[in-house]
Amino acid sequence: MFNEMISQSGTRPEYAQIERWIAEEGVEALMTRRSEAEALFRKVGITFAVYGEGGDPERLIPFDMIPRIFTAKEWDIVERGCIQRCKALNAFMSDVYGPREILKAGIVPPELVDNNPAFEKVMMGLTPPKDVWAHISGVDIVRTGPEDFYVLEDNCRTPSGVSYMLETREVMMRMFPTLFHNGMVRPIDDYPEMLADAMASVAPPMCDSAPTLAILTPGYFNSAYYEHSFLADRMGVELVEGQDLYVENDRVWMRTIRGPERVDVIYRRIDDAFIDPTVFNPESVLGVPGLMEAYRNGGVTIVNAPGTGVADDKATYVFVPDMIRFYLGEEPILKNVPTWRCSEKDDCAYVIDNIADLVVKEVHGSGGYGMLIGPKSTKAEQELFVDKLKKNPEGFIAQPTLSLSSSPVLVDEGLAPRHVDLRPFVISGTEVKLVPGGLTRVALQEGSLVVNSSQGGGVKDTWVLKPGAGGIHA
Amino acid sequence: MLSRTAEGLFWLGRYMERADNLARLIEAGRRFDLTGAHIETESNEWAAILIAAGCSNTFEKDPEEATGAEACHHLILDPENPSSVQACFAAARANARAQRGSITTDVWAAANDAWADTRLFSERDYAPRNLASTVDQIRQYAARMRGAVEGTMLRDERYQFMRLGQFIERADATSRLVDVKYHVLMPEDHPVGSGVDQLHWNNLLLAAGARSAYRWVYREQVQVRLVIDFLLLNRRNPRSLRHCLDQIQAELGNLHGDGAHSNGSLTHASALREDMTRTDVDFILGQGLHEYLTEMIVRSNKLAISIGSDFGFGPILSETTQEQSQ
Repeated sequence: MFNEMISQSGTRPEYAQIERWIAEEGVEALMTRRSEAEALFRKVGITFAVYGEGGDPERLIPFDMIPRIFTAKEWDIVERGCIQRCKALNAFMSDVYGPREILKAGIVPPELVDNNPAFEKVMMGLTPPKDVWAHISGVDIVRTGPEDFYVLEDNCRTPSGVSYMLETREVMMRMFPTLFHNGMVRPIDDYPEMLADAMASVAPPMCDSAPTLAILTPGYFNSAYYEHSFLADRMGVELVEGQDLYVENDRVWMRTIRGPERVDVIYRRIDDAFIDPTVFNPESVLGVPGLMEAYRNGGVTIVNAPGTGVADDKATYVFVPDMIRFYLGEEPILKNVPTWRCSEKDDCAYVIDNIADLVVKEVHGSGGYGMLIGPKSTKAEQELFVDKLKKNPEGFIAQPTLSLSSSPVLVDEGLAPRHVDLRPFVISGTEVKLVPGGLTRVALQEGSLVVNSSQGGGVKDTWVLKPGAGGIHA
Repeated sequence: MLSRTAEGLFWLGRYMERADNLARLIEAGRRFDLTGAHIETESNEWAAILIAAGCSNTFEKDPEEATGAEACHHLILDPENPSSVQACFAAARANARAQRGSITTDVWAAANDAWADTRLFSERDYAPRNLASTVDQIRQYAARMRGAVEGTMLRDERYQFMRLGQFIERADATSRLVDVKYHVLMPEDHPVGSGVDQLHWNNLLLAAGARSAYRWVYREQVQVRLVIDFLLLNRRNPRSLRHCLDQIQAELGNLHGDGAHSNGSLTHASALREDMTRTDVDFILGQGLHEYLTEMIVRSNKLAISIGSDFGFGPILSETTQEQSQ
């Protein structure tokens, strides 16, 4: 197992400052300050809801105070890899709703696209402004060695978690200002402006003045509502619900106290199925009737475009390295985890024979729900999964259990290694870029591999050091 | 500003004020109980308080049969009561959360803390020995929210809608509070102006948080006419009907200055305030206090509704969508 803080020859240079800091503050004092951090989180209202359980409907995501650190060299790999990947995914979306070259070339099987529930027929032949489809993507990355980064999955729909990335940094800077005085940690607080700029850069054809931006939320009962309001606040844009909007003459209008006000670019945080009841789910009250028609006619830009889910499910995932080669003519910088697609006979047989050693996931699942971790499961659970698998082989993929890297977390006894992953947020406007950082999720249970917040995972501040930092002078 | 935001802030202001008024009503009831007035008159002041709180329909039995404990249970934490103290803080907080982007961190924290602490209220908290401190606590939560609004909110539309909600609610509460007297049955041998009657008016002043202020202004014993003047007509009393209407008219003037969907609320508010400036205690008593108050309550309600239509509260259909749906 790769330990990100400690190598065989001792603490890695990038963590030297952290080691000193822990020694100076003392584990006990730091543990006391954790409740202070939690109070800060609760004060700003950064909570999330866990569906389907009783108890406190709004919980805090556990926060670990030991930052997770990337050197400039490591980050360079992650950054270039994410940009490359997102460019290829965008090209793929543009292609499958357009000329379908990659299907014709026999690289991606057409049924994978056409039978995909996330494929939106209404998007066929439609080109979003500047041909940008997934304006915000989250790339979930794990690490197994010094320069070994694997992508676990891509999130091209409405990835969440960016507010945690920004707020954990705020809390760390507030509680431990001395850690930041040397200026070696690259700032991430321009994310909201970066996003606003990207949104403005994809204004719809009908927009002939400075575009008005808005964030569309399902409402305050949604588990990610905090993030929606946080982003709206930081970006200085209205946070709207479906009921606040209506469509007239192919333009979208907000209902304000003074009368209607036009909206040009909408960052919607509701799923495709709910954005327009006249086109998708007719029962939806969260969306805006006529929105798709206005979109098609160039009166409004929807961020992310409908139908981006076609590129991010776990079966399509297998083909991303091929997409990179096909569209960009490059070799993938970030690796894919070897994946067995249970829809293939041979793969399926292999998965059933080796289920005790594999991680089996639903193709369309997310949030750590509905997956089986072979080595951590009982015989009965495995048999149950084999049954499910046989009934619906297309619904599952399997991957080997990777030896995930670990990062130290603070426990009563001091530091203990726990598994971590990373979700950087990639923004695509006229340019594709990301802030130096991301959301580090950490499995707080000893030995656990599941980092999802809905399954008891926590978060950490993620540091990307400036070039030359974390070396001899640290 | 979105109409939905304005509506949320308006209700945030209302619920915050409502919780405060409930605490004052409970305090009045608590004092009635302690002063022995109920024994002397064989009347039940808790009934009047439940009615003043607008709970005659949600309370499970005839309010006249309410005990102090039952009334307090209903007013503070009964899940059947959508306007209990708990429900008010929960609703204030829900609106604060929904409009988090439009309020300051201080206002949010005040609303959030009030909700987090009061939702744990139990039977214990309205037991006789704890009731006084519970009432204090409720008032402190409300005061903190009010203070956070006053001290940290920009004086823009957001603030103005919260103020509108606050004063619409307060005008309603003051009218109902004064009307309590109407519902407390005076026995034949304790005519108006008797010692018991005096005690009632005294407690009403207390419930309005205005006993010392009354002394300060009138330098006299509690007298019915002066209490009515103070609670309804005195411009300097921050809880008087007149003061509330002054504030409402001012905020509406500010808001309408930059345009609105319609201007019904301005007309309503001016007419109401105009009538008040021409009214005196003789006129009110001539019309009948209860009748006068009932009319004021109805008119403030209409005012609140016209504020909603002026600024697009609730779903408004655009002309084309209306045509489509027909």
